[in-house]
Order: sequence, then C-alpha cells, then structure tokens
Amino acid sequence: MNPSQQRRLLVICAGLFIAIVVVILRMLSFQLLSADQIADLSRTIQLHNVTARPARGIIQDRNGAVLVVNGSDYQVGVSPTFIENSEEIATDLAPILGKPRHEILGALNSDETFVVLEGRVSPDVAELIRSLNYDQVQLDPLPRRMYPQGELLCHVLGYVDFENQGGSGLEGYYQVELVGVVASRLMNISPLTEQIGVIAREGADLVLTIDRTVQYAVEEHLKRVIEETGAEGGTIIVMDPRTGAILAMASLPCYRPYDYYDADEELLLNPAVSKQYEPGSVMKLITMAAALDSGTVTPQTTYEDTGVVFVGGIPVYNWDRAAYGTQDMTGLLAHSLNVGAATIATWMGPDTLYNYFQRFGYSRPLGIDVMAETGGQLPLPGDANWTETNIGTNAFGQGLAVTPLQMLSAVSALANEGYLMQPYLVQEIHKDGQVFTREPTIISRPVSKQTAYQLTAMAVNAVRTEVFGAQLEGYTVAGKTGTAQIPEGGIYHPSDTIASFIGWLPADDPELIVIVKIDRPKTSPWGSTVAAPAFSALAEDLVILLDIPPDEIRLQRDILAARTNRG
Amino acid sequence: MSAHVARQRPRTRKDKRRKLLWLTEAQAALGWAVLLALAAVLGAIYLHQTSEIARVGRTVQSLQYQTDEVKRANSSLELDIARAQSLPRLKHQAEQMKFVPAVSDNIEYIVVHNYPPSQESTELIDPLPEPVVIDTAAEAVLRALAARFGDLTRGESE
Repeated sequence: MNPSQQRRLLVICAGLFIAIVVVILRMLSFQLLSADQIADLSRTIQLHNVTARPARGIIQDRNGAVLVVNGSDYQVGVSPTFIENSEEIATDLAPILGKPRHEILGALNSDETFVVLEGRVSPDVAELIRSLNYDQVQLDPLPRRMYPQGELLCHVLGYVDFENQGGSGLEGYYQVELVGVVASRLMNISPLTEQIGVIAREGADLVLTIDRTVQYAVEEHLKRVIEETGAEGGTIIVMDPRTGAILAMASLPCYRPYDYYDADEELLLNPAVSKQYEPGSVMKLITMAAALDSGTVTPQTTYEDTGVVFVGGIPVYNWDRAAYGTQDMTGLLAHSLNVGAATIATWMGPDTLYNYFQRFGYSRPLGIDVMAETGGQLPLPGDANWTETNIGTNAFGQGLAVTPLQMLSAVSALANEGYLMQPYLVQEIHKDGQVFTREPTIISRPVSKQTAYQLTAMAVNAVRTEVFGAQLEGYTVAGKTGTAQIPEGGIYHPSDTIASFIGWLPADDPELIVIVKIDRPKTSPWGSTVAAPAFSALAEDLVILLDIPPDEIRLQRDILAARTNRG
Repeated sequence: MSAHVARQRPRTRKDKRRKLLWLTEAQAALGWAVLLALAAVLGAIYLHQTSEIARVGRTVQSLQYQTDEVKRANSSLELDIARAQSLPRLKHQAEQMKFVPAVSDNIEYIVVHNYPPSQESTELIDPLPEPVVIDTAAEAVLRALAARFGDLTRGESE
C-alpha cells in the first residue's frame, strides 16, 4: 500500500468513524432524549381505539307493530386528492345537496385530505348521490331513529338526539335500556398482532301497552274535535282501569319526532303527563268519594242549595248561578253543583279532604314510565298559597293543578273497586334474549269497594240524566264533565275554558276509562257539549276495536263466563 | 526403511490433524447449518403464524363490517315493512278496495249458547250407529219386520 492509498484509507476510515459517531449520537438522542415522545408516536400510529356502537332497541305496540326502528342518515364527504372530474361532480351534487355549485367545487379542489360536503343528509338524498356512481364521494352512515308511523304517538315515544340520547318520552325514560352498552377497545393495528373483535351489547326492545289501532282512532278523533271546535289543542288518554295499562295517549298539537329540532320546545313536552291544568267539575267525583268514604255523607244525604255558599268569606256560586233547592248527593253530581261540592268539603274539613286528595295521588308524580312527569299542585293548610277558601274551590276543581293522567288515574280508582293502579306504558322489555314482563302495581286503595260502587252508580246517573252527549247506545256509561276556567296572570280568563270529560264503561265491569280534555274550544266552553260527545264518538269505535259487546249481549251468563275466562 | 517410516509418520499425523480439522469444520458448518435451518423454520413458522393471525383478524374485521352492513340493511327492511304496514297507508288501501269502517250498527253479535262448552257438556255421548247397507228388497222387508216386531221378542211394546 503506497502512501497515497494509506491517506485515502485514512480519510475513508475517518469519514466512516464520523458517520458511525453521528449515528450513535442520533441513536442515543432517540433512546435518551426523545424516548417518550417517540414511544407515544409509535403508540399513536399503531394503537387505534375501536368502538362498536350497539343498535338502539326498537319499540313495538302491544301487538308487535313496529313504532320506532333504527335507520341511517349519511355524511357526505370526499378526498380531494382523488378527485379528477371535480367540475362534473360539483355540477351533479349541487342540486342534490341544495348548495351553490362554486361552493362544492371549492371544496373538491381544496388541499385538505378529506372534506365534508354535508354533515347529515336523509337516506333519500343519499340514495340519489349513490345513484351518481361516483366512487370518490363517500357516504358514511350516521345512526338515526326512524318513525314509520309518522307523528303517531309522538309525545309518548319522544325523540332521540344526534348523540343517541333520548330527549323525552319513552326514549328518554328508557335511555339506559334502549341504548345498550358501547364496546370500546384500544387495539394494535399492526399486522403482526392479533385483531380482536369488538362486540357491543345491543339495546333492549320495548313492547308497549299501547294498541296502535286504538291510538290511531284516538288521534283521529282528537284531530276532528279540535278542528270542529276551533280549540287550541287537547289530550285524550285511554286506560284499562283494572291494570293501569295505557291503551292510548294522544295530545295535539304534535311534532315529527324525526325532525324534533324544528319543533318548538313547548311541543316536546307530553301534555298528558307534563302540563298541569285546573280540572274543574270532574274533581267533584273525588270530593264526593272522600265524603262518602269518610262517612260524612251518604248518597241520600241532602243539603239546601241556595245558589251560593260562603267559604272563607268568599262566595261560591253554581256554574249557572242558579239555586237548585233541596238536593241529595246524586243530584249534586248530576247537576254538577259547585255549592254542593263546597258544602260537603266544609263538612269534611281540610284534614279529611286533603288526606283523601293525597290518597288519590294528587300533588306527586304517579311514577308512569315516561320522561318528565310532573306532580301537579295541591296547596295544603299551612302553605303560603293556601287559604280557607281553597276548601271550597278545591272541592270543584279550582285552585289546584293536576295533569290529565293524574285526573284519569284518580277517577280510575273509582272504576276499579277503589284500587289506584300505577299507570304504565311498557308491557315487556326484551333484553339479551330474555323477556321481562311488567305486572300491574297497586299504588294505594283510597276508598272502599262500596264507595267505588256508590260513586259509579251516581256517575252513571249523571250521564243518564244530564250528560246525554256522553251516552253510548247499548252500553252503560259512567262519567263526569268538567269545565275549568284558565288562570292567567293571577286572574281567570274571561271566556276561555278547558272542557273535559272522564267516562268509563261498561260501568258495572269497566274495561276502559277515557279522559277527553279540549283546550280553549271556541264553539262552546262546556265539557258537556265539547268533550262528552267526543267521548261518545270515540267510545263507539273503542268498543269495536277492543271487542266489548253491548250490555245486553255481555251480561248473558255464557258470555260473561267466556269473557271472564279470556281475561 | 526407518527413514521412510519416520517420514510417513508425521505425514499421517498431519493428515490426521488435517482430517480432524476438516471434520471439526464440517461439524461446525453442519451445526451452523442446522442452527440456521432451525432459525429459518422457526422464523417461517413465526411469520406464518403472525400473518395468519393478522389475516384472521382482518377477516374478523371484514365480517364485522359485513355484519354492520347487514344490520343496517335489516333495519332498512324493517323500516320499509313498518311503513308499508302503517295505518294511514292500510286505511288508504282499504278505502281503495271499497272497505268502509265498521260501526256498531254493522256488527251483529251472535250468541252461541254453551260456547265455549262447559266441562259437563263435553262428556262423550254415544256415537250414532253406523248406517246399514241393504242390497236387496227382501232384505229390506225382513229388516223392517224385525224392527217392527223385534220389541215383542225383547218383552217391550209401544
């Protein structure tokens, strides 16, 4: 090796040495100085959080008709780097997405790796986009609740927001059961590691006590009554008084649960359980039940109706300001006399009266399985807003507030031998292959069987002699009307009322009880002329739908036995 | 001779040593070869296993994706079915087929007494006698006479 070669070798060795030193230093810097950072980077690249979202449970009516299912909206996105024919795509997408063409073109030509053209489009729009056959346009499904029956049962079902959170109704109350359990796992996506499946626990399905056909009939009748009377809205609930199972629950105006975000916030509440009103004369049933059960009066007890009675220094008048002379308790109910109701309330005294009111479930939620139930208002002696006058006014349904469901449930105790049943909407929960069935629950027994029978007989007489509009040919109907004034700003509205009727049939063995409540009817303010005929028309359909034969057929011994066995 | 022997001995020793060395090298090479082969086999097994695991993992993921797609399609079908069975649609179709809503006047209740049958009435009664086939007129006459006067022979009479 000559000196020149030796020098060159030396230079090469030096170069290699320096390179090795640099590599070693760099390795040391990786290992010592940036170790954590690089480890994090490695984890970020390799580890991926895989989340499996369960399908939300579906909701069916008592006969298995599907009321709510899962569907998808779609997110429309593109990766601009893969777009070659942006002009053509923009031209086609603009009318479908309802966006200016230049806006879409700008997105298609952007430098971003991924651009969302529309955050959420309906399945129909997605289908139109799919039919264009552009592979570059990506449609990512986004879970969405679908309501194949449209607005039917809107308040009861409630809505689900874009975060899969039930916002009202059953969707809100049964959120935990319906939503299932999300499965999430941090997984290494390296091809050299095992890929474990992530499986979520599916949401439970609900089977309701609601009969879809009955619900449809109820909503149709409610629509018709509201149109015919020019009312602002209304509520109808149909319940089986023997169990507390709700067969139909409708309130109008309604909203489309699919487009819940377009609805007024007020509409999202279920008026049947969330809105309070002064019930008016329907309350006389409860006052009378308390008076009979406490032994204060008997059906034959009489009082002298002079057309006015002073309670707490304030005069109480009859609805027509007339005097009815000597009246027994049956007459009091039949003529719906405020003076009589206030009189027997004063005979009972506040302790007895309010004790019974509370036993009937007023002033607290009944615990129905639907979101946002309210308990109403019942001022009690000692409360700041209670005066002695309340004894008189509360007796005929003024100065207290109830929900339509509370009023219906309280009266249903009279139709059910004195037992107050807890109302419920979900009959079965189907979860993980198991079926959980709801059993009827007794809340309390506010009055005796005898009192319940006496009240029923008096309510039958009231319908038979005074509320002709509520009668149904071939059936014995028990019931009571209510015409309630509406408090606004501390005083009662001079003309607007809430007209209502609660009726049950067959009176001797009730299979259904119905409340019809119409808000601010324009054609007539009275429950007897607005709500009672609506009840009768609805009941005519219900006896057919629920297979309740007329009394003359039903009361035949053979039929009774057969129906008892069936029940 | 002895010189020849003396010359041969170291050659033999050298040969032996060379042979020994060769054997040692061959054994070493064989050892290395075996080691390499083992490493190769193990490596191949490892690679096969890991790639198999990865392949199965991807298959699982793909099947999960398919499951999701099928679930989505199923939900879509459920929705279509439910929409097809919605009451406004059924009502419209029924009206097109000239159906009208039933009202109570249209309904006639028929009372079938003793239905469902009570336990007493479900007791078995004697079955009807089998009909008799009569082939000739003579046989018919004989049977008629027997029926007419048979009671006499049993000690019974009308």
